[in-house]
Amino acid sequence: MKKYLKIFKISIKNNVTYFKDFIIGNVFTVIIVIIFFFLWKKLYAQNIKTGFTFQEMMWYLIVGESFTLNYNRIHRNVAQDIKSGDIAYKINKPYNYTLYILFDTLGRNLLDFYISCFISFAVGIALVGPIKGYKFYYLFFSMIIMLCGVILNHIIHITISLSALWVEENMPYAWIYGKIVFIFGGLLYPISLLPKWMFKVNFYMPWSFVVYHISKTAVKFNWNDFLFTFLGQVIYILMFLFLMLTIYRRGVKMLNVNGG
Amino acid sequence: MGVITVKDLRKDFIAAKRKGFLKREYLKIEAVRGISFEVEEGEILAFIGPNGAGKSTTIKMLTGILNPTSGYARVLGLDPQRDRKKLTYKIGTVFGQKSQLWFHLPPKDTFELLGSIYGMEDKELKKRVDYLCEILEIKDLLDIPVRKMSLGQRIKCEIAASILHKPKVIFLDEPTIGLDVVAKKNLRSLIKRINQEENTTIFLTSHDIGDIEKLCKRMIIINLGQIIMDDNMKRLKYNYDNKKIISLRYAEDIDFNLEDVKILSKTNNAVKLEVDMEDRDIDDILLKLFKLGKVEDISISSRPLEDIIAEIYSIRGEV
Amino acid sequence: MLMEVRRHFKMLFSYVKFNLKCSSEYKISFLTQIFGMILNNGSFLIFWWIIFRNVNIIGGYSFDDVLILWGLASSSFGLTYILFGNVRELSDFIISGRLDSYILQPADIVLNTCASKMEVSSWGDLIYGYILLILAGRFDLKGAFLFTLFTVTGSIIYFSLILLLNSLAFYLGNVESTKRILDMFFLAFATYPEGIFDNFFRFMFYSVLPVGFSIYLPIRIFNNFSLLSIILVILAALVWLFISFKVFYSGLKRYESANIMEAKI
Repeated sequence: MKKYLKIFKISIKNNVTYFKDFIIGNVFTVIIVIIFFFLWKKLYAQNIKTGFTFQEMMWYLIVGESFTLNYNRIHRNVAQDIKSGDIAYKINKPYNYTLYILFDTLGRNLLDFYISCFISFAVGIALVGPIKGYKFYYLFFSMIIMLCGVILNHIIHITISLSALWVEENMPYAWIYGKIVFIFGGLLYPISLLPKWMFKVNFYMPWSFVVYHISKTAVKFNWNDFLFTFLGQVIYILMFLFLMLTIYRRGVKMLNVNGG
Repeated sequence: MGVITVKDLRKDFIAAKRKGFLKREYLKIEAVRGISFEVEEGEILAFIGPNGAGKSTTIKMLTGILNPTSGYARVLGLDPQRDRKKLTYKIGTVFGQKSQLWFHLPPKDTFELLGSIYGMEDKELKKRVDYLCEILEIKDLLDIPVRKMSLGQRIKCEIAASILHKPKVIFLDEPTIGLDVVAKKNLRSLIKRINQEENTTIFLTSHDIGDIEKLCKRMIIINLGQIIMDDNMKRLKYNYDNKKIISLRYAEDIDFNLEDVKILSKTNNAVKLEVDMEDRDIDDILLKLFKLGKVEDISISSRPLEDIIAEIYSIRGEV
Repeated sequence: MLMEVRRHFKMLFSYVKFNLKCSSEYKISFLTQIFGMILNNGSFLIFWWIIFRNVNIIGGYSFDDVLILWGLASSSFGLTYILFGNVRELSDFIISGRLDSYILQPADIVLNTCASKMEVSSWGDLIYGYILLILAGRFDLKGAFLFTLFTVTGSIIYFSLILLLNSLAFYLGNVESTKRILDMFFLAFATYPEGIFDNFFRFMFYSVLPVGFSIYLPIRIFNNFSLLSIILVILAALVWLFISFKVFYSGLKRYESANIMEAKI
């Protein structure tokens, strides 16, 4: 565990280089939140039924926005390591390559994530104020599932990025997954707005455990939702960890056969 | 009136140097410090100097890229900044490794594009390309993507691209850089040919002394933003080339004791000398050398131009 | 003057032709980029479809209006980067001295520099715009004409904005963050109905951030034809174009080629 922690630390240091992109990303988030504020105000003026109050809806979207992190880095790095054959050297290192990538990107992205959360929080307070009756400890438990969501999303992205072992490009798959989270994961709107059957299907899908369930639980906190979300996340994390490691092991075997 | 007239031309750059978080210190760098010269029509002029001497700054002011800080510059009677568009029709440039050619396309396509930029009619363009194909020998290259060409082939097409619009003055900045001996020789004869065929004035900068020796009749040397020499090539050689290098090999070991000569290297039976001709006669020295013993081999040569130029830099550099 | 215009059109045509020739050499990547962009834009359509399942009108816009809004934003963005793929990177050209080769040619420096690159995926944006026009059921003679006209004016306005932001590099040096943020502002607002914003923002749209003249006013004309408004849009486009060129050319006097870099060492 210690060695992964070290990777994590070094990553945070390197993150300073990405500062500029990160700031711009955050400015963009703020614009989008402001636009959403105007959009949903108009929608609520027409008595739209969403299951959320206007204030809750804004907080839902704001929480979701802080999940937008830089995942392209994963796909680029993995593809690069495979194409250049570097992966052959990294295989022999005393750590697992996929876990290395996981902690490396987590190190970079978690710092972004915390700052984004802070900015989003400030924007939310300024725009719609705190939700009435919101308890401080909700925040603490929400943070747990938010973190789990970020980790799950990373593992899914790495699993997808390993497609580069078989096909030339992994970006198209990353892109498709990104769009699924966008539309069916609840990033742009709560998926409860989808047609009934679509909602039911996506409700149990992994992508709704990286945004929808988290944001909804964080905003309308109750223990049932919390436990459901947390359990779902744990199950999916274990599933995708297994999948990721298996795919990696297979890919490595194939590389060995082909001689790298 | 000359094709290029420059009078007391200056260019200063202001560089900001960060000092602390917000504080900045401004530094004035005098890149060109009041130069004057004239170039006649049809001349091939070498404009040389060490790195950072102000060569490219001068060329950039003459071609309209940079605004001079003060002074007067006219190229073909035009002010390069004010009459930029008019001037571009009349001058051509080959700048170092910057390419005009499209890497993935055959040169024919680049020529067509340039034709549209210079507003040439299709017929006129075709005639010009045919002509250039002939004198530059690039007919076979026209349809090959540039990325598949050798450097020598590429530079030929590059030159074709830059004289497509029949410029009266060509600025060549390090045209032979990176080329092998054969390609260099080829290119030099092409440049000469272009100069003769259309009486084109050529303004050349190069680090390659061979380029200068083979092509130019006149040379301007610039250092630290000032012209330190503007002279005819012959006169330059005459004035500076008053030292000869003599190498001798004798049949037996000799005892060498000659005065007034500088010994560059010496073994038991061979010697290499540098002789200043200003106060000596060559026959006088040779006579003395022959007297020393039986000579097996002898060679007398001038100092290479490269050394002469290096000497000029070092003598006049500190003005 | 007319000859000059003709020559520049010919130049732009040549650039498009050879840029296409270059990028179509890798056919698969070429097509993937174009279709990828169409799909990418399409994903927002689902968002609006979901929203309009619940309401009929948002800020005065019907679903069809939103389609045209998106279509116009997409195709004017697309047209800009098909013709002038380098405009976004112009500040880099200014700082690193890469304008030199364009100053040495007789064509207009801005057009020549910007046109020398094409953003392949922008074809997807342009095509997508017309797909939405068809989906909105407005692909008739009048609709197609107006749409094309506003794609051109919108593209002129957007191009001018980006040119203006990049030209600031002559005065300020590094403008990377500023230009990216304002570019983002423009594109973000251009894809949401005008009516949802308050008066402060609307004031901005018709002054500093020209979304109003490039997208919102044209949509009003689509629904309520008015010759006066059309003239206003064209005028706004020309004013923006004029200002941005003015800023570029007065900045050009301060151009220092690559010497800024040399001096810094």
